[in-house]
Parts: sequence; C-alpha cells; structure tokens
Amino acid sequence: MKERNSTSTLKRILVNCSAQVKEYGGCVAAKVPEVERDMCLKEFLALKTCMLKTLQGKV
Amino acid sequence: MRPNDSFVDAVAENLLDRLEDCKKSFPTALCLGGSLEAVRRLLGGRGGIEKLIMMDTSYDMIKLCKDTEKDVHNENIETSYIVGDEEFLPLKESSVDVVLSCLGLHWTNDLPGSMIQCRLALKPDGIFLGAILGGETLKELRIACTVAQMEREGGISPRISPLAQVRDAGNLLSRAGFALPGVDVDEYVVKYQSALELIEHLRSMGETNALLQRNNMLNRETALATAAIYDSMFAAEDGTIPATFQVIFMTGWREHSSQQKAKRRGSATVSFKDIQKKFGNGN
Repeated sequence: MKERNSTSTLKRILVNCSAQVKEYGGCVAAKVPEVERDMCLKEFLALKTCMLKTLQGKV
Repeated sequence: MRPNDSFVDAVAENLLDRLEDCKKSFPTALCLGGSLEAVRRLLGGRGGIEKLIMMDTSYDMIKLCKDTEKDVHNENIETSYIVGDEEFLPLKESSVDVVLSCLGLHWTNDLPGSMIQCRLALKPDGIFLGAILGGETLKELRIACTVAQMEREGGISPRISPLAQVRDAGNLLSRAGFALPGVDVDEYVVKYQSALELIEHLRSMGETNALLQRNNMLNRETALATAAIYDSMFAAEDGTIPATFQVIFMTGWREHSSQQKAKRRGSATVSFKDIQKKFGNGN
C-alpha cells in the first residue's frame, strides 16, 4: 500500500541522494520568495534520476 | 500513539496546572479526546478530581486507555469510559465540574457547537479548560510545502486544514456563552533530525489526518521537494530542523452568580469628569 511504504521509501531516497537533495533545496531556498515553476528544474531532474535509481535498485 | 511524547505531555501539564490556580476543587471531570491518555497519566491528584469520565470518538483509543488503567496510579479516582462525539455530548446538563480537552478540539467539525455542549455539561461555576493547535503551527512545513508546489507544479492547493487563530479563540469562548473567558498562547519549537522525523511524529500524534487534507495526497515528487526545501530553508547549524507548534489555551466558566460581571451600561454613578476634578488635571 502506498501509505505504508511512503515514509521509509522517502527516507531511503533522502539518505541515498543527500547531495542532490542539498543542491535542489539550496537552489530553491536561494531564490525564495521569488518562486517560479521549474526554476530549479535542472537540480530537480538530477534528484529525480537519483530517486529512480534508488527505487529500481532496492525495490 | 507514542507513549510519553514530550510535546503533548508539556501541553497536558500546562493545562492541568491551571486547575491548581483555582481555589475550588472539581470532583467530577470530563476529559475529551485528543491527548486524553496524557492528561490522565499526568493528573497527579490536581483539582481534587474524584470521578473521571474519559471520552473519545475512537473505540480503540478508549480501549487503550481502559487497558492501561492499572499503569496510571489513580486508584482514588473512579474512572469511566465512553465512546462519544464531542459534537453530541452524551451527558446530562450541569453534570460535571470541569471539562478538559487537550489537543482534541481542532479535529472537531463544529467547534462552536462542541463548546456550547461543553458549557451546558458544566455545573454553574464549572470550568472549561481547552488546548488547541493554533494558526502558527507547522508554519515551516506549510511554507516549504507551498514553495515546493509552486516550483514543481506551478500552483498551490490547501494541504493543511485551517487552524484557529488566536483572535478566534476569544470569539469561540464568548459565542459558546462562557463567562470570564481567558485565552493565552504558547509556542513550542520542536527540533527534529529531518523533515521525515517530523512527519513520523505527526503520524504518531494522530495529527496527519487533521492537518493534511486527505483528498489532496502529496505526490511523491512534491513530497521529496518539500523535504529538500524544508531542510535548506530552516535547518540549524547542527542539521536539525525546527517545527513550530502554537498552542492556544482557552479557559471559560459556566455562569454563576458569585462571578464578577461587567456592570450594565449606563449604571455608572461616577463620571470621569468628577474623578478628574478630584485628582486635578494632567499628570
């Protein structure tokens, strides 16, 4: 069930991809309060790639 | 619910302390759901309570409390358990001396209605003591969530259900007809290792349904973005993240002739002019 897995899955991703998490988070935080859609797309895609790798690797 | 949750305990302690501030004792008490387990455990004989009615909408919660009764050394207190809805209190009017509600009422749909019911259940000169989460609660999470949604999705939708503002609390008490209403606010900043630990804590406190509107499930990418942004925006030097919990304490009394009342308009016998004449002009 999605709910049961969601927190521990998220945890795995945050641990595995901590560098990308920091990059993405830092990019957004630097621009706040000016927030536009996809303004940190590049960083997020790097994070997403890592997320998918994590899910494929372990699931 | 995680046992001995220090935030919930701190709020319950604060609430129970107020019983000590009153000269009178409260033989019969109604404890409404939310954190009623903590209230019972920390009671410690305060308020002179002899009969305790524990009420929650959840059968499982009541069962848990009943099963752990022996662990809480309240032998002198006659405890009874009801599964009931605070919007339809199954109690006779004027039957209890004190109504305690620790972090439960912000779940209620009809808060004004529930509070009226609480007042009616109280005997004259009985007291209502409630603690609810206020509007500043989890402001960091709400900000991170909003920013994440704007960056990822280009728009925002409400994810956290509305919480009372401090200014609303006073109105709630007066609308419910309580005498001598009192409101005060405390902010607790809890530190977590990560945004995930916060979510887990909220889950164990049973707050996630109340706070995160279920029909708007956060999609995984936005949830990930939220955690990343929360960290970047709010993390302290040591990597921990803070989360604000604003607690609004409300006290109100069932009217009784012994209570001081505001005088009727137009009943003044002395005017400010007279006072001024007597004590001279200026400072």
